[in-house]
Amino acid sequence: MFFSDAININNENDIRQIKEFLDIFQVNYDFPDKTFVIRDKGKIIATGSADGNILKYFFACEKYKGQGLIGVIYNSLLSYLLEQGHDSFFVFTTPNNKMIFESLGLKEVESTERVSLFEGGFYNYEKWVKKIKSSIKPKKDLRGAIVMNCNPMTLGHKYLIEKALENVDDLLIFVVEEDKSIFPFEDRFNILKKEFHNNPRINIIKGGPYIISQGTFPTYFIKKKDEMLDIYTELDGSIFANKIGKDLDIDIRFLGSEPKDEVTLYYNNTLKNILELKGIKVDIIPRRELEGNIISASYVRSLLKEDKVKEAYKYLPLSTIEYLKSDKGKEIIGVIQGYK
Amino acid sequence: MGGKVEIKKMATAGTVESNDILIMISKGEGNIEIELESVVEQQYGEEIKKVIHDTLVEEGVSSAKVIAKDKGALDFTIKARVRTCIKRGSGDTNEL
Repeated sequence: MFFSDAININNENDIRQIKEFLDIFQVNYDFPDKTFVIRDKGKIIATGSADGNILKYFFACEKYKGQGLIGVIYNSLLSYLLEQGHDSFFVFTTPNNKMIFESLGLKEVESTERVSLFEGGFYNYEKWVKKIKSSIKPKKDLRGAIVMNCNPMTLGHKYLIEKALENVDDLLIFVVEEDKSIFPFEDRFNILKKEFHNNPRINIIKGGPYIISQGTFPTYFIKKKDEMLDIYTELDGSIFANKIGKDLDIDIRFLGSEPKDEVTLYYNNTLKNILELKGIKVDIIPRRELEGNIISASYVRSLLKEDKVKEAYKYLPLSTIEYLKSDKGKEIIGVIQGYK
Repeated sequence: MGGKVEIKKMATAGTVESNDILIMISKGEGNIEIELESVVEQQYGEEIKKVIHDTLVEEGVSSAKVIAKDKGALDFTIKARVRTCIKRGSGDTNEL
């Protein structure tokens, strides 16, 4: 019978041991929130970690396989996650590990040739999509979808939405729900809601964990870093095409054109290929310009940073301007300027 | 036993090893909701759910969400795991 211990990040010996162990599997230890290990005669023989609500680094020594070590690690991590208040959690892994996670009772959300996404806990995809289904009106003819971060919402976003509306009967706007953006998710979401509150053809939806942003896509399980974008796009596209698009009956996905950033351009084209192969049409809408500048949220943030707030207003819809004038908005501008 | 026991936080008990069951519990919405996944679901799914449900009621829990991953546990194992999970989730002790 084996028992797991937590790694103490202040203990140099612990850290050295776990780094050496992960080296065997060509993985770099990047100080996740919690790491459990199982030792035999003082040596690490299995491990697993949690970072936020993502489980990772599940490895066991070959010669101890079949003794349920990963199950013991999983149990410790599960208690830890629930204690931390995470009601659901995810595992990104390579498809050859599918069996392990299935045997732990996790559910496969989606898999591509190179990556599998599993989930566990109280919440899951079916519940998420059911809730959305019940919150939107029945579809008339054509339904479109846009995924947006809106950090913060600009006239460029508004233009994209209005253009999309010319082509469909109703539109689902998924707001990326991760808090790595300067503008908090709730605020980004509420600005959009306010801007379009009297348009019954628009549904503003919380992106949830199934709209994975590139910024939060974990890369630890990918050995070749140059394949990262492809692997991410494949998973993102497959979830959208096989699950969200299908379950919510989406006909067209709209993307904003990308004139500058090569990574986004590549992403757009790859995503278009994947979705169209699965029967979802993709429309790439040219970005709106103002005085020769492409309107983008990052440009707006840079204006705010330089304290050119009035100038920034030129690129923003009313709801964003109102937000920036509120106490909360002023606070965020302060935070942005603090990065100077 | 009996009386009213409130689930205050998420908790887990049991394992996903063979002949065991993993129970996760969290606050309910006024009723008992049980989601079960079992290797013997077809034959014993409803029975396992009933054991979980009855144990919750016996222990005085009337509102809870339960997720159960069963690997062929016997009734008394299921009962023991559910009881432990309730104790942890109701905040009676952390050490059980």
